[in-house]
Amino acid sequence: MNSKILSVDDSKTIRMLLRRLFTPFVCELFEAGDGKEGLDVATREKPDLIILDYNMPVMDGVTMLRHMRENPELKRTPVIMLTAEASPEIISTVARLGVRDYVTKPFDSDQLLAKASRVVTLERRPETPEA
Amino acid sequence: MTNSSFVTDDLSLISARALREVFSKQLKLQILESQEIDPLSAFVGKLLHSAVSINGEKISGTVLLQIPEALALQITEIMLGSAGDAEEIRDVTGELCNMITGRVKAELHSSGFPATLGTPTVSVGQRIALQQRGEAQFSSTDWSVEGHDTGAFNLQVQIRIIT
Repeated sequence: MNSKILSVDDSKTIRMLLRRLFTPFVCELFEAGDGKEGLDVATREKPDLIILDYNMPVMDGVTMLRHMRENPELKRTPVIMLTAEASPEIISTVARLGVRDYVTKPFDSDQLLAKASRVVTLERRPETPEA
Repeated sequence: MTNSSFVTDDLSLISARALREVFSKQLKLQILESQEIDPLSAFVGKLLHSAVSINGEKISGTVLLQIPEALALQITEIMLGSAGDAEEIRDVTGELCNMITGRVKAELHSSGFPATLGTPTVSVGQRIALQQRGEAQFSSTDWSVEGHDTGAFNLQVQIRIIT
């Protein structure tokens, strides 16, 4: 079964960048533009990994995490934070909420991919034969 | 830098470190500080401006990035892997400024000035300057991308200590 990865970020740029990063791999990608939408998609799709921003409108990443940890179906879903926010307080808060990893923007795509592959199986898609 | 004050030199160094880190890590581009004085004043063409606010109990401020449209197009292509449409180019410019401001904020935080970031705003037009407020610290630096002929770009940072 394909891994399901959900990116939650209000920046379309980051969502597109992650789509580009994970497209070569056999996985299903889902996207949400804020924490509330992210919670809805996570509840519906039960992703194997969530890549989550902190600073977002409507509902921030920490609030989304808190809601997830109160939900028996989502409380063990692995989360990697991907955020420009690097304050020790926030890092400590999300660590208590059980995030697997914390990546600060700007970020190295290969490093993020390596961290994601520790959580989900990332198998390259077979090359499409040339027409 | 002390908790009670910091000087413009510090702000220029903080800005330069933030800018260099974002360009090298995210875009794999090296940048050079311009030796020309205000190179964008003679620039003919569209500039994309992105601003992000920084607000905390002890500080408030703004980071403003101004880049020529040709550079914004190139950055968009690097980040997204293809030429973006107008909305995508604006979004990439905003995200770039957000990352730079995040790094500036991290340095201010470690110096005893915790703060939160605002949402990036993006506009298009001619060169603009942040309105300098009273005792606020202000830094304006001009840069170019090494090996690329896309023109100079500008970063302005203004931070006011709330007393």
